[in-house]
Amino acid sequence: MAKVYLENLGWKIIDQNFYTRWGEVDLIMDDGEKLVFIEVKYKSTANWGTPQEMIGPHKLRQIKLTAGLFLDRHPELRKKYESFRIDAVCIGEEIKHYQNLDG
Amino acid sequence: MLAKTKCISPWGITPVEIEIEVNISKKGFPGFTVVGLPGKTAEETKERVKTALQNSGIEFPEAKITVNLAPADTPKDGAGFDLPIAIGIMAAAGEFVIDESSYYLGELGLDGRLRPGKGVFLLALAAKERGIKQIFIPSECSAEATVVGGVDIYPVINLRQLIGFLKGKIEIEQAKKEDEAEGWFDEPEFNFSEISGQELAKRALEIAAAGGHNLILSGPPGSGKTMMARALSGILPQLSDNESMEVTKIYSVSGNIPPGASLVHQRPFRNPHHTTSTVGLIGGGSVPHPGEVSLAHRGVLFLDEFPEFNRSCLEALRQPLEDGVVTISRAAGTLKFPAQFMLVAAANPCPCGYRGDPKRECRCTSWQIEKYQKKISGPILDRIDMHVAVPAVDITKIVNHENKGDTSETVRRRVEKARNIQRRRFSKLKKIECNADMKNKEVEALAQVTPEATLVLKQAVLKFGLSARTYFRLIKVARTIADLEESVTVTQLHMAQALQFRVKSE
Repeated sequence: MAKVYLENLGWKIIDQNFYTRWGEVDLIMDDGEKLVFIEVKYKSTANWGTPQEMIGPHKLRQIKLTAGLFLDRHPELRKKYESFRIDAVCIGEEIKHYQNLDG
Repeated sequence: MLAKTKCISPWGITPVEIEIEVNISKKGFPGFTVVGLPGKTAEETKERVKTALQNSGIEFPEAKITVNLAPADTPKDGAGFDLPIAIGIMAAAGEFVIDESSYYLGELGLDGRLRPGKGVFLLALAAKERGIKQIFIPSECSAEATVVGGVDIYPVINLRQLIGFLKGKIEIEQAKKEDEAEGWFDEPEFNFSEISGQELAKRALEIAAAGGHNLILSGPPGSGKTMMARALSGILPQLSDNESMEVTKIYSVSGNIPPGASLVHQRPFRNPHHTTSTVGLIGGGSVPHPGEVSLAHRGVLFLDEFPEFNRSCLEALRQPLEDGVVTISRAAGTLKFPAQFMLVAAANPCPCGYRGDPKRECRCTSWQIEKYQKKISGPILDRIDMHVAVPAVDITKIVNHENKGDTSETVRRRVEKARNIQRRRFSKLKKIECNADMKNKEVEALAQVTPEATLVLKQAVLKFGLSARTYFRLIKVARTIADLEESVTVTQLHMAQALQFRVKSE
């Protein structure tokens, strides 16, 4: 669902569910300028908290670490893009997209 | 949206105005951060505020919330920031407009209830000084604030009530000063009349109470040292209004005022256990808090089993004993806690406790005794005005209920009379409440010692090799004895009595 949402924005998918022993990045996409690492959170009801609450400093650290590993494995991408970004897409009753978590 | 609320955080016992800036930004990932050197408790405010707001029927804004506690370089701690932060968030969210000239203080429960907290008295004082119009405090602490007066005091029960008030929907009745707002009073455990025998020690306690002198009681186990020291709180005079303000300030900062109570009228009596740490005794911590010596300000610090205290603890007492203040230096600054207390120490003469007892033999080796007595250093003993030996009680006196002597009430009346004389003497001087507070300059100007008495003292000092400090301390004790007898001058007789508590007959 998040992938469809972002592809509608014109972003291109590069990889998904990139997994290492230190963490996972749900989507890696190109927004036309930057390479974006995206965390997707889905909650069917708000009874157990909002998806936003599930993304804390620990999760952010995991994503950063994994993103670094991804770039190590794909040196050509590191050269291609000048900068990188971490985003989150939270799916509850509506879809919310937050840009640049780390800044 | 940006909103500002104000609060007071104590730095020592000086109030520091803290401006709480709350910014809500709809851009960015939702989150809640508190900056400005919050301590652990102040950091955890996030969870309390969020839940309390939700449970008070307010939708917590889903946005990036940044709270800054300014000035940013003063370390701050405590749960009192809960209320100003919660109000700031709502104001920043546009729920209502707030008056800048108000202080907020209070810890929030998860249900939105306001819990009683520290520092309400200090907040009220600071608000009055700085011309703040209104203060919002937990309702249980309102008595503490009303004694100050001069500001509009709104006692708040819960967040929902305060929100209603700030939106102009409901009224909160201002707290008024109640006439019967009396300080709490603990009944002393022992009455003076319950102590059989020990006339000399009882006399010494009376003198010490009348002049605020330091005292050490030494004697075998079971002779009643602890009992006498505890009975002491019953013969101490009430605090004067000035003293009461000082003590209440310290108690308010340390959270020692029970809910509903207002000014402290009873003299503090503190008896820390001998395992107390230096910081616990003197005060300190990264956000410095008052120690036992400051909590005993204008009252009694009773150190039972004096030699068992940590050596460094006892040595740290030197400065407060002499100056009446504790100075604590931290990276963030230096601060002072008042610590004008009366030290009452109790000790055994040796490890087994029976040295000098006529009936039981002391089983300690001379090496042990020396080691034990070395634990209390000379400089500390030199600062103690009266050294009193408490011999074992004659058991027949207890069985026959002999020698009941005066009750605490009678003794207290005498003590208060002597204190009144002293108060008249020092009426022009600030900071001096009793004879023991006199500095050398005042001793020379005000003690009124007769030439004969001076001669007696001079001879004693030369014969027993007493220090210059002891010289002045002896005059102060003699002055108190003269006050108890309502004598204008200090005569030979008074001086001789003072000397008997100081000079050991070896």
